[in-house]
Amino acid sequence: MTLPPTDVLQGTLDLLVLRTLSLQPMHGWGISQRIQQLSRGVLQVNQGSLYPALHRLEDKGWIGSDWGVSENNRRAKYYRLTPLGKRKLAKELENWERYTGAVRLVLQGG
Amino acid sequence: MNIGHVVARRFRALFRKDELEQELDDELRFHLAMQTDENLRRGMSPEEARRQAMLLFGGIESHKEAARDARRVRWLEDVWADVRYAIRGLRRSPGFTLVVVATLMLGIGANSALLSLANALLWTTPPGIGEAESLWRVNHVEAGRELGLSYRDYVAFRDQAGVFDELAASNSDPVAVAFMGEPQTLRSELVTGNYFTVLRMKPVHGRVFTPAETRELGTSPVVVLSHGLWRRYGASSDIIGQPIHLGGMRFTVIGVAAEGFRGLNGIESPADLWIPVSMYREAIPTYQDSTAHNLLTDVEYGHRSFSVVGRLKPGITSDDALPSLELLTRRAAAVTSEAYARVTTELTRLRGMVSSADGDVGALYFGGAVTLIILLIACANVANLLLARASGRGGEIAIRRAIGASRGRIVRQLLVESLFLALLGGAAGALAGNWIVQLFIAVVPVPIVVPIALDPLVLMTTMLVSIASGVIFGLSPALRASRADLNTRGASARTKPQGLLIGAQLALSFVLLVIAGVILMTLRSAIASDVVYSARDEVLTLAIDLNQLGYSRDRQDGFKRELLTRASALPGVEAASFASTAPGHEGFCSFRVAIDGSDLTSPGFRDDCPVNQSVGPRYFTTLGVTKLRGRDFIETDRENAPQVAIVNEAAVSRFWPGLDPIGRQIRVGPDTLPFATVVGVVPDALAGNPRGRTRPAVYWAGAQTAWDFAPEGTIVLLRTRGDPIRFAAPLRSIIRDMDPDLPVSRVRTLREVVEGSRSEGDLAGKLLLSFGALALALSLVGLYGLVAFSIRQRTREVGIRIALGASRRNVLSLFCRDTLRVAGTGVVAGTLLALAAAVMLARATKGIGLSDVLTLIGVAGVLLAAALAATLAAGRRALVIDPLVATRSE
Repeated sequence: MTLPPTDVLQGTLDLLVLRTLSLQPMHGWGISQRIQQLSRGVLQVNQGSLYPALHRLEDKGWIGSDWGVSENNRRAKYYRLTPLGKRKLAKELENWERYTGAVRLVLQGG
Repeated sequence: MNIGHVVARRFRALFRKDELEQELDDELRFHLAMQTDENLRRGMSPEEARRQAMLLFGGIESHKEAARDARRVRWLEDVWADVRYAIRGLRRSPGFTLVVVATLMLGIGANSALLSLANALLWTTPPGIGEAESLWRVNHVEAGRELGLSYRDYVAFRDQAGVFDELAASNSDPVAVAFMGEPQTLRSELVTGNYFTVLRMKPVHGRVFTPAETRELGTSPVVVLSHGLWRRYGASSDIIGQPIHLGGMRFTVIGVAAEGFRGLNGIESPADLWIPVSMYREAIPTYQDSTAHNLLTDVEYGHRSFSVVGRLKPGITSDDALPSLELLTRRAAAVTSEAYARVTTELTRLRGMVSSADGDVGALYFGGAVTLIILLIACANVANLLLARASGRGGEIAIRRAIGASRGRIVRQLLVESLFLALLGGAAGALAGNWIVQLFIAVVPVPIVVPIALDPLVLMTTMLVSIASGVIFGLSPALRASRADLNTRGASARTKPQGLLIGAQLALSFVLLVIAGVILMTLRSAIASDVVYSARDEVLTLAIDLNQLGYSRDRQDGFKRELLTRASALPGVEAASFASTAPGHEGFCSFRVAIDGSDLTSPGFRDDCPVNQSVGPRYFTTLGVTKLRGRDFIETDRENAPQVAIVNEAAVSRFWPGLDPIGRQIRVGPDTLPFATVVGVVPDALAGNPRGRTRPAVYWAGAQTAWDFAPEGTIVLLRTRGDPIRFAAPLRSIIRDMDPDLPVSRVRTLREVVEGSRSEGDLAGKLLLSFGALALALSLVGLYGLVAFSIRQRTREVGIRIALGASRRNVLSLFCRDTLRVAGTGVVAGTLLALAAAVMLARATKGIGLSDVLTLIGVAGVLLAAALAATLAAGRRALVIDPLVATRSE
């Protein structure tokens, strides 16, 4: 079962992208595949939101880009996490933990 | 995130757009290709794989759009697109564009012209001066007025204050010059040896004074000429070394000053030549007279006339320096008490050519207000035009909004259009303004130089004004037009804001015209009421300067007596007299007045400080003054006879209100002088400002009075039978016979003298009248446009009315009623504004009188008539409407 793409909130997508890139630099296609993989098929990134998100993140300086050659010899744009992005990722992770933890408490509480 | 990073990205986004677009394209195609590959691997056919990939991907273009939006320079690209759109639209309606730009050119041009003028007068440094930013003027100020310094003050500041690196002084004096065979009176400046050095002025030819050669009195008879004077005498470089006679003594020309330089008070007293102050007695023999004041040592009130300018020591600011200067001024006050009692010292930068206390500045502010009004009217016109145009584009805007343009986007586009028009108009206005200023200087003899090249300050301000105008006239139409529901408003409501604007324009035009009318009326009545000047066309005046040739007091009196005797003997001369200044130009106001034994000096006295004039026997008879109470001066009013004086009506109401002054005592000046008995009273029109209240005036018998009221020479008056100019030559030859070196100047009839002094007020009135006419013309054009537009809007209504049997006349009168309503409101509003303005101007005029009310009514009539005419003209054209066509049209 896949979540409808619109449920992936903009902020969440940013977090997912940053996290994905923290593992290794990759291109846009690779990012969407990896997120799908890691979420065991639950999260399918809407391509229409992915690229704007990537450009936005790059604009803010959290990720950087370079053109390179992909595994099948095609020219592709690779993104990587910047030091600033690393810090942002840590902060967002913390926020996410706090947020979901609070929601869990409310849902479980009596 | 560092700034460099951001800038680099923005830069790329703006200027490497194609590259970025290509990159985005590549990136998305790569993704698509990978997805297709994936689909192929899953077992789809190639076409199916591709199709599925594209479906999943969504429209590439919308991705691109979204990504582009994320690039965040989108708004700039949009604005550029708006500009191109605006240009296309304006090209389609060239008539509209032309009218708008022309209107703005007038409005902005007028302001630009005024700014240029103000810039030249107030802020630019006089030409020829170097390093002007570090030059400071030292002023004495008393009760808000600037005073000159005495030479002693200068020396004290220079030697004892310890704050100045270099300090120079100058004193403006008229000087009798004989140059190239021609005797004349010129204006000179007596300056310290370091004057030109302090000003860092390089002479165009020859050299300037050195401090060494001017240290000792009387040893360096040298002169520097002004550029204009040099040009007048042939502009050749062998002027250096030429002899020039000042006050009868031979001097040598050693240099020519830079072009445009006329001293530090270039507007009020533009200098023709410069003389070392050490030569003051030789150049201006009047200073040799020991009873006259000693230029270098005198500290008496009214005898301090030096301008002092200099540079501070490095590291010392003006705030640091002031206390030392103030201290020295206090010391001077301690010694001479009242001469310095209320004086403070101030340091001002050398800027501009008029001092801020000058009347010229007030005129500039007034001019600024007027041009601002013109600009507002022009903006209102353009706003109306835009409104008209916008409602015609209702369809286009509706479509755009339907496609998805936000209201803000549409407003932005309309604003861009307005700003574009504004900048076009501004550029045209800046050029026009410069042209206007050059024309103005050519016509009005003000000795300023405004460079032909556009001054960057003026240009920038003009552009700012244009942008502000663009926003002013563009905002409201933009906001209105962007509303989607254009068709739900009624016909008259649709034109309501335009009606308001027209009403406002008419009101403003009304105010300008009324003010102009009032000023002109005042002048007319002032001239008309001069029954005193019945002899205007029968009196010849000319000026001679007896002071310059070193005449002693006795010799002067004797000369004048003989001259009058000889002149009176000429056939056709009915009377002859002299005066210290020309009639209507009475000057030298003195603050020390004593009446019947008690003193009257007080600070509040300043505005009706009495002016003084010393005149010869039968002066008033010569002038043709008929309403004289008491008696005129006679020959026996001389040195050893009782002191007498004649006063004017204003003096009577000031000093002896309600009483008869004849026989009473008055004294003007230091208390060493004797009291004089009042023997006559003359009407007011002779003295003071023709535009304002007349001032108290006291007339003295020239042969008796100790006061030297004639710094610029003596005026000789002849009352003649027939054309007075015919007597100029005989009079000149008598004078030449008596002393061939005596310069004679300013030969005019009394009419020219009297009306010359009115001319500035007249000029102001005429200028205002033209501005008012311009404003009215603009408003009428706007009204014409409004009526034509409104008729077009109401075409259906008009068609129906005509079809139902209304005559064209009826329909026209309908519109005329509307117009009258608008114009009437404008007149009422304008009247209120004019009254408010009158209250402000009341300080200068005698208050509101019958003629003013008549002016008001007259202008209102003219305005309403003009508005009606415009309406009829517009209506007639637009009423060629076929009712059938009209009712069918939407």
